[in-house]
Amino acid sequence: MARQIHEHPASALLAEERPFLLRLALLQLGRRDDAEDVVQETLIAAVKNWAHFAGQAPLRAWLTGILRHKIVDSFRARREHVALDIENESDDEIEGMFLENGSWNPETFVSNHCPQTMEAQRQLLQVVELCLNHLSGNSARLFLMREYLGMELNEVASEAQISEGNLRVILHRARLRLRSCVVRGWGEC
Amino acid sequence: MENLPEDRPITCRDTTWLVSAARDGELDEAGHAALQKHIADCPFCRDASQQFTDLFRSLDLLLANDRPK
Repeated sequence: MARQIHEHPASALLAEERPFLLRLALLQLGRRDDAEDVVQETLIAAVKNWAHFAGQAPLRAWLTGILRHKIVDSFRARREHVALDIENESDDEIEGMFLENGSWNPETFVSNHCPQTMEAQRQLLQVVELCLNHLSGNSARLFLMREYLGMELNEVASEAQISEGNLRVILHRARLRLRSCVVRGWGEC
Repeated sequence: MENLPEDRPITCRDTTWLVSAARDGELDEAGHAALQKHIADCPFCRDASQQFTDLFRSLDLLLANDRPK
């Protein structure tokens, strides 16, 4: 199967996207073997369906869409739910964002906005990807179940064996952390 | 949106809950109205709201999302 990929005319392009796909799959699945498997299946599917890739979307977006289906299939194939340990995450970073009265803390608030140039937008995606990798493993998995796989809140909560209320807290914290990380990166755009 | 405070105006921290709920498609009209009212009066939250919008747009691009949430 791997030969199909290596011998394909687009093998170099596909190889270029493989590290991104692997990082995304690893964030979502948490196990390297599983991540390697779904990425390999994604690249094989891409080779088989190359004729359907008309180049209307960026290659990465097309592959990311295929990978999404492979990850969902992987979840279904496992047929077991994995209870996640989410109790040990520190709130210090988030507490530092606000004053006691609930206002933003002016000392830690970053007001950067991302420049709107094409180059800045490209760099912004890199910043967002880097910041995704800074989320803790379990938060990242739940966050991506919602944001990437598009699972409903009740499905994600059921998969992780947590309450929907807990899930909302985790998603809220993940979004706060991402914003905080990304706006600091925008200063470099 | 559940748990909007009834006995006080919402805080900046509350607005981040509303933004997160909106991202999940769970914000009702009262929540939207409370969020917009706060943002209109708070320059920090105006900045933060735009930053969240830019972040979510970038996430959708990065993750190849083309469906409404």
